[in-house]
Amino acid sequence: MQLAFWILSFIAVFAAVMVILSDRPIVSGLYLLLSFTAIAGIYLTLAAPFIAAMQLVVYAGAIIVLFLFVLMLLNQHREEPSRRNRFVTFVSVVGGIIIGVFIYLSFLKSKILLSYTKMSAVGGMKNNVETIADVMFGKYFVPFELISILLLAAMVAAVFLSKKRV
Amino acid sequence: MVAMVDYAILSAVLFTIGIVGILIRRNIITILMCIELILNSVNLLFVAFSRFMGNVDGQIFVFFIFAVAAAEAAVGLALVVAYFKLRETIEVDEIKLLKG
Repeated sequence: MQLAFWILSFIAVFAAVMVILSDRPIVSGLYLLLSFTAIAGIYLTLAAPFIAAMQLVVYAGAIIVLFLFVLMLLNQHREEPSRRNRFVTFVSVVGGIIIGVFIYLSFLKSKILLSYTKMSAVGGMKNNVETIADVMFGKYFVPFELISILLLAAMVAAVFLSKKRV
Repeated sequence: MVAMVDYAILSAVLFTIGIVGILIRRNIITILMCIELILNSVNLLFVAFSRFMGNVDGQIFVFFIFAVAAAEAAVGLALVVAYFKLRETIEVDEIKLLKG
């Protein structure tokens, strides 16, 4: 399982780097698909099969298809050469990396985080979906219903925004 | 054995890649992809904490984040399509309709 974690995390990070480095948006989208699939595998190493399946269905299935569909609709297959100042790009990369280093250091300093060295005995692959269903339709019932309203609102907004103006 | 801090560091690395991507890309669709990457890193941290602490509340939060991410992608891409029909560009440096 340790080997699986390292291989999958390497794939996920490599694909994420390729998403931001490739200059063709279609290629970025396909690398994003690879990254999402690797992260679904990492969810399996965390004994969360329901979340792994949802990751494959919602992200790798629906969202990536939506992105690729819009890319092909707009027919913008390559970025124009940059007219941006190189110095500004360099400073923004350094700033982003500094944010990341601070998050990294705060994780390494956190005593709570470092105290979790082995997975909890409770939970696991067995009865994962049943446990999630019990909690979701008990404690989190109202948020669950609100999410459906959010999705309906998003659908109405998307249809309204992309319809032809008269 | 893989410890919690390994998952946390993987999540931090993916988050950083997403932030840098938002700052350096000029195609607005790639920027939306980087936002999805950031949401994924947060999901990873939620699931890792849920597993190591032994309750499933973190996984339910991840389920809600999936719904929010789907809504965000749908509305964001609809806005991109609407703007493209108006101005024929999706470069963020060219998008300055609201600039005075």
